[in-house]
Amino acid sequence: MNIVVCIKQVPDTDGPVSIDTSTKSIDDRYLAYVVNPYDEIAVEEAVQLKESCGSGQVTVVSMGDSSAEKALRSCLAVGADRAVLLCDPAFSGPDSYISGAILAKAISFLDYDLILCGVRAIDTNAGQVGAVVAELLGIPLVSAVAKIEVSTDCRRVTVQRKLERGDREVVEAELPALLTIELGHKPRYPSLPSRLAAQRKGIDYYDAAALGLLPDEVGSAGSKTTVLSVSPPKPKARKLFAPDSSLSPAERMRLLMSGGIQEKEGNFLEGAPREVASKLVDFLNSERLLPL
Amino acid sequence: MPSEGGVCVLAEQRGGQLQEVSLELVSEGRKLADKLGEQLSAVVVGSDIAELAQPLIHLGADKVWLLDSPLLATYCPEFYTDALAHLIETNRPTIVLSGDTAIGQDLAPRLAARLKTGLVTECTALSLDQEGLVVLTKPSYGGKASSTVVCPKARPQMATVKPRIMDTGTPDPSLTAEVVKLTPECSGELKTKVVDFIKADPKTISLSEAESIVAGGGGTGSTENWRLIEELAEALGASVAASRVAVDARWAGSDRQVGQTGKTVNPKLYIACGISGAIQHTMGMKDAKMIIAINKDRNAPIFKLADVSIVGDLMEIVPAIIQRLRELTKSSQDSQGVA
Repeated sequence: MNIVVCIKQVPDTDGPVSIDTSTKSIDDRYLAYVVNPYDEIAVEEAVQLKESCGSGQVTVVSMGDSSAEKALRSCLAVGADRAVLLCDPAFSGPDSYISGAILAKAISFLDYDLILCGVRAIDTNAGQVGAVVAELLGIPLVSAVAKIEVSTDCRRVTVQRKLERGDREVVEAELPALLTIELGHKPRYPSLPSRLAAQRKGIDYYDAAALGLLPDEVGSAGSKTTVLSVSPPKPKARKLFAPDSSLSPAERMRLLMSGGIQEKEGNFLEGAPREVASKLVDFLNSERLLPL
Repeated sequence: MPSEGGVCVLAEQRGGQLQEVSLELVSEGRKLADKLGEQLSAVVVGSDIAELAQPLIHLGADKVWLLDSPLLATYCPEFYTDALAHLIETNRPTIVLSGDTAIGQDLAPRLAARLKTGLVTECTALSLDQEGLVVLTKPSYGGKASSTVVCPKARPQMATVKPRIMDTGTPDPSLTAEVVKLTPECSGELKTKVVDFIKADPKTISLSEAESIVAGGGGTGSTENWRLIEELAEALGASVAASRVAVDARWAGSDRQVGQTGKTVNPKLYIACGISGAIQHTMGMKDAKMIIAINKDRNAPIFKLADVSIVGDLMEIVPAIIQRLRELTKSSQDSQGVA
């Protein structure tokens, strides 16, 4: 079975992310880059499926500048057979739609039975590229996949989709299909020899001309959405109990004027256990946190 | 009546129940439509859904589309995408809003790809600029930044909006609106098929996926008392978690441990019972959206994190909470029985 995995090199959001307030964008000078964690799981799933099928190739495809070679090589080190980098100055500044369109175009030149994408990238958090690729290639899509089983003839997959509250939906799809991966096996740690071997492997480069794309169809020019600015997140507003009518007017005013934002500390519920319990339950109910 | 332009809300129903976020979006959509001087429409997809139009109209929808077919009773990505894409292409709204739910996260990207337009997911704020473009704000970079995005040319401008960000307005029962019922064809062979549904069991699901968690710590005191923690979890439909102390005491399995040497969780509700709040525990749960702490010691560090702090004896407070929850469940079941 031939599997294509779309991967993205993203800033490691576990590390510090600083924002340049003058340009209203991410300050990229000190960022560390990693393979998007969901894509890493997708690569691991692909390699395991290939191993259990006993034949076929895993191809990793990424769009980015030449620095994305590092991400592709780390996928080669964990078992991918071939790496393709879609690299062209004209590709810069893409949104989800145009990223998907370029990936779809490139994948149409490849031989595939199954395409895997991470469910979302941790930098933009958009979660759309998989849907665009599937739509443009005209193949079925199953999103938020948590578990994959391939039929013995390698013609169908049965997958578990992640729904809310830990529920799962079991879906069957004909191949070729695209799955966006949310959960799966833990990515393996590459051995030193496989890392060294990955350094020596060739990476296939494709630019816009090679894919038959015009400069105004790609990059920021071809994008549907534009990021106006990136700013530090707003502090989280905090819900308060409705001001208690037994409080003094001044105290109630203070609660209202705080706009619901204050230090968490000190919101004590006091009284007899029964009274406290019913206040708490009513509060949880008003916050829709009860399974009623 | 041609209804070009306007704001369109994709109202989501499950089992004949409108989702809360859809009502929030109709209220928000009304404000946008008023500012733009355009129409607000809402679409419901399902089977036998005529009565779902009313609540949407009372919140201000000028027109409600009902895409009604037995084949659309439950969410089917392919048929839903076909039916909605056709409706949107015919009526050309300028703005399409959907809830950022499990269904919305699956459906909206499919629709945007089909319509070849821009979509912004997980929005937490909407506003209009001078030209009437929707300016969308969403978290990015793992929540460490907030991005502001527009869709300048492609139409419609699509967004999925996080639930419980917008307020549901007050319904006005005097409002009326046109309701158009359509029966989409739903032809074509399905390439994917839902074959089973696996209901999550809060007792066994991974803590990292749990929506509510009741956690017990050393303050629980004994194996007998630990049963109270489990009872409270059961009454709340929550999963049980434990601090290291409780795991070491064998009250809970090590897969239930939260903290530095256990799991990191981010549930909507975390009730910490008898947990003092040592950093080794709190680093695993500090991102919970609502933290309730119950502890004997008024100076316990857990109270610094808690949204609601209760000082007192677990053995008195937890049974009282369980009892109150049971009363509430019973009364809500009774009222549903009457209705």
